[in-house]
Amino acid sequence: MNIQGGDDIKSFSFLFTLFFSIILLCCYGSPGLASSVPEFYYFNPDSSQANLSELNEEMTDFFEKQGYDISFQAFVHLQDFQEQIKKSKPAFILMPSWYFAELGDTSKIKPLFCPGHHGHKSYTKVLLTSKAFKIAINTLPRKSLAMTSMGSRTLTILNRIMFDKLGVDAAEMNIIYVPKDLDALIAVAIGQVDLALVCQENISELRRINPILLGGVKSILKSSPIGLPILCYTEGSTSPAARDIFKKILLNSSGKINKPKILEMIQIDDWKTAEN
Amino acid sequence: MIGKLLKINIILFFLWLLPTGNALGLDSGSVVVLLSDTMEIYQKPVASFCADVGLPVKRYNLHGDPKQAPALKKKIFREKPALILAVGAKAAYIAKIWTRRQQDIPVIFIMVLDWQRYSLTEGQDNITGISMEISPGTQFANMLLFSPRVKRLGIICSTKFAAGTQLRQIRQTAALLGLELVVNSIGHPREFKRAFKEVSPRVDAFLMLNDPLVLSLDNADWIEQRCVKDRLVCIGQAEELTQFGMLLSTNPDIPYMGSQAASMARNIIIRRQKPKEIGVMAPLGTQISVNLETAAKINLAVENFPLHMATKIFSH
Repeated sequence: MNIQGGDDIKSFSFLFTLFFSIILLCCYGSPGLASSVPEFYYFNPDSSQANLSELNEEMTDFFEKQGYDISFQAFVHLQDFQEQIKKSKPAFILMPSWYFAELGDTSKIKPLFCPGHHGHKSYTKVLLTSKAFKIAINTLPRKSLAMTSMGSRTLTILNRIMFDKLGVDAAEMNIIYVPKDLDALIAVAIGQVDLALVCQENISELRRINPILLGGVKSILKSSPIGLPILCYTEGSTSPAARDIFKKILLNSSGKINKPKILEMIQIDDWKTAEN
Repeated sequence: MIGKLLKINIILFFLWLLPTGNALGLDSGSVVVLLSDTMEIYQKPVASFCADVGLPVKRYNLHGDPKQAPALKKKIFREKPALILAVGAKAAYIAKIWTRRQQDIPVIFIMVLDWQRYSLTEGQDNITGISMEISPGTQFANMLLFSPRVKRLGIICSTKFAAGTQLRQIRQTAALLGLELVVNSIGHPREFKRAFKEVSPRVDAFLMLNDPLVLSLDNADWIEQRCVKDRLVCIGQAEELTQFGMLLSTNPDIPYMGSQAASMARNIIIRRQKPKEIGVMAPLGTQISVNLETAAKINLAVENFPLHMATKIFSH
């Protein structure tokens, strides 16, 4: 057996290490970049969409048809969304405007698109109560109010969009958070809570389908406009090229007459670029 | 040097201004989470409670053994708890006993099946909670969203249930939503089929109660087929029922129960709401499941809006 000298062994070790390093780099080297499928997170508690498996299917299918692989994940609970955002750095995230505002300028999460719906960039919420309930502004404190959470700054936002002008402090109300708008709507309709704060659009839809459901409730206050959810990207989690393709796909979808079903599901029909 | 000292003093002053437990209305110790046992189903509601309550929380576990209660009580009551969240029946019952003579400690129970059985609120004003059952009103409202034409709804219940206050409350809620209730009571599970046949021709929909006298495996299987045969909208309270053919079910959103309990805890501790004033609440967060195959069989066209609201759609 012809055994070569130490130099050969050394160069073999070097080549083996180099080869192994390349393999490792390819597998784990640049997470979120070209090699892996970009993640797209969705959290929109004010939307009427609760069927996350259908949403997942439609969204994946929509991007697949455009030749763009994406790993889509939708969240119902704020806590799950927050935890997951901390754990991984999704390439794209659709999040409520109030959540985006909480992130601050130092965050790596940057706005990509400001969506629109029926020509609007914002929506309003309405304060509902039972028709049998004689409401006066000074009786609002200590009343129970069902609503979806707006994060850690809920009370501040509530005061800004609704109660400041009346001199009422939301901190004095007994707020009970619910996972979705419909839960708050039903809770006030059947008298489980005194008040509910829900999106105007969901009220209109419910009234159109079955007016009896809201027959016993009346609206007493309307909020000032709340920004629609913002579509963001995480800096460094995806290449600019991949981001451009993602943007083009969405921009192309919004102008069509026959809009994809997915846009109806997420109640967005227009995308305006938000990047600097 | 003086400038530095001034800066430090200013920082210390603002730190002093930061809200402490007392400033938040927490005039005693931490919020205590008392678990009956280590169970997977408790994890999410407890996690959401801890995340949302926004106050210091200490967790204790009975590990399914009530004999551990005295030692745990010693530990917990070294500092008076601001509130106890009792998770599961054992924890709820023990929290009730612990606070019998200290009713200034509020207790919220969650994850207790059939809470009335333990007389948790009897004789104590400091106890509130969230039941495991969705209120009938929520079920009716969801049904009316999927099937707006329903006017008369059938219910079969035990004679004991029919005589109690619950049925009266169900009637009131039904009336609020423009529904007429048709009720038939039974004394034994084998009377169920006969009772249903009497009710069926007089109603457009049927609510399967979680009454043990009514909800047997045999009855559930039979009712699913019978509702299709009689073209009735049939609703229940378990996703499994929908999976095997019932049109619609509305279940509590279990993970979210912790958030609801956290809202209640903050209202009690910070805004001084009385537990008795809150009463035992039904879970407000819901999960809706619908069977579209059954909808097709009974010629029910479901609109997109309610379909989007459904957390689970079975369409085989």
